[in-house]
Amino acid sequence: LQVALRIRPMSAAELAEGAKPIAHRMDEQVVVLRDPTEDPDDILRASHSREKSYIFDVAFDSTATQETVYRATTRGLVAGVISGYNATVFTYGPTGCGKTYTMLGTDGEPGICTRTLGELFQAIEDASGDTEYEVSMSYLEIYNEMIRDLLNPSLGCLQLREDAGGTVQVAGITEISAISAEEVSQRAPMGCGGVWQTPLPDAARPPQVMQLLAQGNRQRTQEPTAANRTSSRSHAVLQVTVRQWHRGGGLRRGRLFMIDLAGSERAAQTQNRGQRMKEGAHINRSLLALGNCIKALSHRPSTKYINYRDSKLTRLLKDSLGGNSHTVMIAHISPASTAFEESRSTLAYAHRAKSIRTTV
Amino acid sequence: AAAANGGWAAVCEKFRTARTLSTVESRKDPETEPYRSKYSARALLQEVKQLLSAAEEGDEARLLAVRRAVLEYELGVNHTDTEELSAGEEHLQRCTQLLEPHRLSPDCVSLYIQAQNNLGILWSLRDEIKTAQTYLESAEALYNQYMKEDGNPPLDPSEHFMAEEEKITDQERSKRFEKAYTHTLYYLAQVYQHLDMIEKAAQYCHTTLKRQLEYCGYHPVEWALNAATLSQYYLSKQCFMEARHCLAAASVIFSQAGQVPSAEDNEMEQDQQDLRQRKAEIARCWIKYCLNLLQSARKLLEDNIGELDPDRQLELKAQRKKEEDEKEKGRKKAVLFGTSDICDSVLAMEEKVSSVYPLDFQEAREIFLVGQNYVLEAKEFFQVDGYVTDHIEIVQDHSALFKVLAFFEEDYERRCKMHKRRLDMLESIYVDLNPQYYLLISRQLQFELADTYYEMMDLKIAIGNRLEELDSHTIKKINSLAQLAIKYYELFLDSLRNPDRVFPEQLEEDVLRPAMVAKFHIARLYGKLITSDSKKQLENMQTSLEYYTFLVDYCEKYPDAVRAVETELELSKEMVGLLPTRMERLRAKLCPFI
Repeated sequence: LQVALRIRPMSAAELAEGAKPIAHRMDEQVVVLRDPTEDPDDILRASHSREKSYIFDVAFDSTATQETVYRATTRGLVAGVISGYNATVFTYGPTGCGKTYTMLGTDGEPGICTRTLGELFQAIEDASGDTEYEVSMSYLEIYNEMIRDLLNPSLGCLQLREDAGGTVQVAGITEISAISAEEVSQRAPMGCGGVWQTPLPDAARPPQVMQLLAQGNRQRTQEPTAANRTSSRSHAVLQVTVRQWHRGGGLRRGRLFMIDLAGSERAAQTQNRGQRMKEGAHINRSLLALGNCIKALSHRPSTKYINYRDSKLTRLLKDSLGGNSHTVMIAHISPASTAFEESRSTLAYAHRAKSIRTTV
Repeated sequence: AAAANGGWAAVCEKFRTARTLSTVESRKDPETEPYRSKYSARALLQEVKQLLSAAEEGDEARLLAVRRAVLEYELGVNHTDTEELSAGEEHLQRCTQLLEPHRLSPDCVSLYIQAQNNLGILWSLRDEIKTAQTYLESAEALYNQYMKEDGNPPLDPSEHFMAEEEKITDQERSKRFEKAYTHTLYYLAQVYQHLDMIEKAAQYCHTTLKRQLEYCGYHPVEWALNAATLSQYYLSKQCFMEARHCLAAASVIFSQAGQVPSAEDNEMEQDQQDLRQRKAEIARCWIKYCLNLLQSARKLLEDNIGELDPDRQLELKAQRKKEEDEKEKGRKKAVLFGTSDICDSVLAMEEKVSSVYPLDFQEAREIFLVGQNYVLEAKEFFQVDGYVTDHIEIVQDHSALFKVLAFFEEDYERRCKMHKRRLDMLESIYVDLNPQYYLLISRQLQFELADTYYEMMDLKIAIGNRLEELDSHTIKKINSLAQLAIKYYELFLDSLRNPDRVFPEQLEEDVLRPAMVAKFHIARLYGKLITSDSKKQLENMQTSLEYYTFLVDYCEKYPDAVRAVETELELSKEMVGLLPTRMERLRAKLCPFI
């Protein structure tokens, strides 16, 4: 698992609040976070450094461009996907720290999704006569364990199905494909050199696909209570499949998942009157959590005993996370002192994630 | 003198409003102001507190103290809920102090226990689990003492702010009191778990489940799933009686969940779907039960070459006879689920399958059949199309059931039939599987298929050896089985190659042993192939030698690997020594003039 960390620039709102930057990128891999809480009575901690440093595979701050981030994290996966391997890119972090910016970007500053698809279309164009490519994509949202097709939200809630030949699929989802074909490349190149086979009436060129993604993103579930927060609890999954036929060889199929995870921030902000709730060994009041308690009794994962169904997201990704698969996590934080708690927990989590091995 | 009646009613009303705010209204608080209702409730409680302190002491000192204690309790919980732990602790301590001299009396005991429950929760929020433990265990002890010394349904704390005519029935009092104690036990279960006292945690979870049935109200599907999950814990500890009891109760309670009435058709379908899935999941837990019971029995009965040891069998049978009495006593002490109405149904469920180790084929077969029925039930929902992984795991369990049953079967031909069933079911799911997406499962199936062919081949040879001579039909069969075993072992080994089709220099820990075993078995299989063509035989021996050599060389290069394949390595070394000589002799026979 490769873990990258991106610090976004201070926002106007943060500056207006008087927040100071407390997160800094020290070098290509190290990020330092300073604890801004002033506590004159805390004799114990006064002598300790308030700074903690975290090492990642690569770190970015506001000086990094979209292109830099793309090259360092995702570009290397593309060749693998074309050759038939699977890969996954996650963006993780609290709402408002730049996950969607990294993933989708803006028209002027496109993000990872756009650049990846661009690279794949280029590969189709450059394809020799012996090789035929098909690139297909679907864009879906997982919200409260419900799956919605962002390219066709009117379908409502969709089901996951596993099939023996392929992998876990979403039944009935819209898939847009581009195929390279000999006849097509012999014609004057069309820009993407592909033939679109979709429900859409007109030939969709790459810019139009980007438009589709942006539109799809606007379809993500908004929550009425979170007024200035967009799509904070939905995961958006862009699924790109590349099929390659090589004359003399066989069919190879690689899948790339690009996932904009839901915001990792805690639901309730307290009125700042007491101590913060710590994660860990606290007792759950409600008997509804009895099931969790029982499950944890046999915490050794073993095929001797039943483990219940994972969440929809992990099921969808399951086969892509095993074996010959690459995973990249891009964690995001704000540099502001007002976001210290969230930044700290994001850094800790991302740091812990580095020790995960995606073995078979 | 007491406060005027009208005044008291107003006080009670205020108190009730505060409680409603805390418990009901607070759920609707917006995310930006999550404690709004609780702060309002707090203000009201403070007002009531003021009114109380204005009242006079005197004859009603005791009553006043208890009422104050109720307020301190509510304030304590309020502050804890709003993450103000110091204040919360202060109030809760004051509550217990006020009640201390009367804590065992019916008007105080329930409140005292609840205060201690909350102190337990509070300390857990400070990550001081041991302190939490002391409060909760103290509450537990108090309950037990009260039930022993008095036992009458105590007053519910809310009654202290109720008018006389509103007071609740004894039955309701008892229910609420027991519910408070159930929470004590539930919190203790969590504490023990955090302290890694897993056995105790399981015991308390078990008791909590039991009490949910009797006192607390429960949701049948959820309860059933929890009981089934608990059974899996018991399985891991080889406690089959307890596991069976949990599963039987799970099945009985689950059947209580009937049709769920719902407004929209869509929702109804989803609910029905969920029910079917849960039922299938419980069936899978039963499969694991049967499988584990059979496999554990096997471990006890097998000798050092994996066959059933008749002496041990006699030993265990004799031992079992002796233990039958003790088992009965044990059963009476066990924590049993069930109010009287479900008790019988649970018992009926339990009688369908044994919970003691099967010691011969008949007994094993009965358990096998129960397991097989659950396989069919589970497959009804977990069909291939849509639930590949689950379906395959169920089939793997089915195959495992056959495999362990074969252990108990004495007749070799019948054993072969069982292995044949395994081959059929495994091959049918393997053939459609895309190995790229199901890498791990593919490997498991390849290996199991290879092993099963290997086993069958050995059986055919053993059967053949009983006759004077092997007929050509049997020889063909043996060779075909050997070839198929080789094929699947090779497929498995191929799956370990990297994208450039190169076999890894050094094997990863989790595939090391299977890879070595595969190599070893292939070597042996080439040695077992029967051919009248001496040249072919020589070729086979050469191949065999290559594979044995691989093992020996690998272990030399990577000495850490030796632990994983000790027995096989020893035999391989021997063969590496013997084979060249045998081959020489064969070569000499073929070309006597060289």
